[in-house]
Amino acid sequence: MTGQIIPADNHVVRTVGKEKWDEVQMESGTKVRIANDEFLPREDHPPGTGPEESVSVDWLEYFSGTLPIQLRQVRDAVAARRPSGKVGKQAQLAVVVVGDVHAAAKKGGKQVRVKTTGDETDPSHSGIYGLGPYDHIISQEIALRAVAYPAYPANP
Amino acid sequence: METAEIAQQILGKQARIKHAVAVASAVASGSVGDDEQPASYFTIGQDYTTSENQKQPMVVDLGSDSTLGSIVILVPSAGMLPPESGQIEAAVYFSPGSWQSDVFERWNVVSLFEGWRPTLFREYTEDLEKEDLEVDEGSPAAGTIDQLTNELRSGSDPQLAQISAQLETAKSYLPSRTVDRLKRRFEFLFEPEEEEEIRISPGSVAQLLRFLRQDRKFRCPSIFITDRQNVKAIWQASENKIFWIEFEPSGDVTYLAFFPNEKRSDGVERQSALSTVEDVLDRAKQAGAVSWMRK
Repeated sequence: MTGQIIPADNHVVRTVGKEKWDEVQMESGTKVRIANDEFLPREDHPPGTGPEESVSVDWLEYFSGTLPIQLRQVRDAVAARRPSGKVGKQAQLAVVVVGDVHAAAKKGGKQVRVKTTGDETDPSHSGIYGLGPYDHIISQEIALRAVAYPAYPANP
Repeated sequence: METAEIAQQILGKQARIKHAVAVASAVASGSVGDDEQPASYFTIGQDYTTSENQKQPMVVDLGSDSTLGSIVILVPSAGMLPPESGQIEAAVYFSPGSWQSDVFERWNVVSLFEGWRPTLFREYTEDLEKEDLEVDEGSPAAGTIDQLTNELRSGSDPQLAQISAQLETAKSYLPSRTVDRLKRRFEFLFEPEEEEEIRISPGSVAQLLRFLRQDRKFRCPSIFITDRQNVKAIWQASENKIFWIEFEPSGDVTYLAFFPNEKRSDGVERQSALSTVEDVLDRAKQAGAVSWMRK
């Protein structure tokens, strides 16, 4: 099934393991920042097949409710499609506006598509298509615009 | 052929060695051959270039896997040596069952951290005791041995033990708050999780430390781990002041710099390129990043 294009004013969510986020001491204070490579397709994934086709994300607005409720549903959807059935306790959910993804790509001379994967059993699952594994500047621009939320908030 | 059999052929013995102590100074961690694999060993101790510290033994941690570990001095095949390095000795070890179990055949040459130097080791099959090594109580080496022994006995992750030992060494040339912050970060990364375990190249950590050593005023960067098991160090002061470096065990780096440039319509210049750990500080200087990479 062909994926559905996600509107520019909607959001996608990347689930980020603890090795890909850290607290960064900025002039404005300490903030959680996401590594740019979280927004890059892997060089060889699945192994032996070459670059990954897209960056796996979830469509936030597919789910209804307040932001915390939407994020919880994203987390559960991600866990459900993983072999382990889990999302790490220290993971972060990096939320980015789809329009910002397009703008970052355009700045780097690329055009991307952000759309669902078309999997009817996992309708929120989406991808950022059109980036290569070495698009560091574009991915850094996207990472800058991502807002991180703990996958397991202290006060859910 | 089983790894152990290969070991017997090459080493001429099958040893059960937990630690090896360098009896000559001048070894550091490095990367392996042209495969850019992490170093198979590293030294513990203080700055071994000083005559005072040459009196201290240097300890090579062979990991917590006590089933098999060997270390040998050999002359690597000339074809794998870097140009003009000559015929010198290198050390290898392997420990089947550990995370490094599949790389023995490739690990027959070790490029040393700062040049190629001969090394000799004394092997220990039992847990290290300070008395055995004739280490002065209270000396840096004694502290390191205590730490290593405790970590190995507690069954902590051998990668963390190795990285902790690297950081212990770094205390001799980096500010303690930088080392402490790095240590906390790595300990956090190695905390058990439900997800697949994290692997970090000790060779990449060694290159990070090598970079930080160039300027004691650097504040501790934020640390990320890439899918290639490399350390990525990030300094970010604001959205238009970013400098990050991904350290390959070989000394190659990928770096990215965002820095202000009022001539551009959006006010930000952006660069990303491939370089080396020796040259990337110059790139940071050219980008004007060093001022905000410092305290």
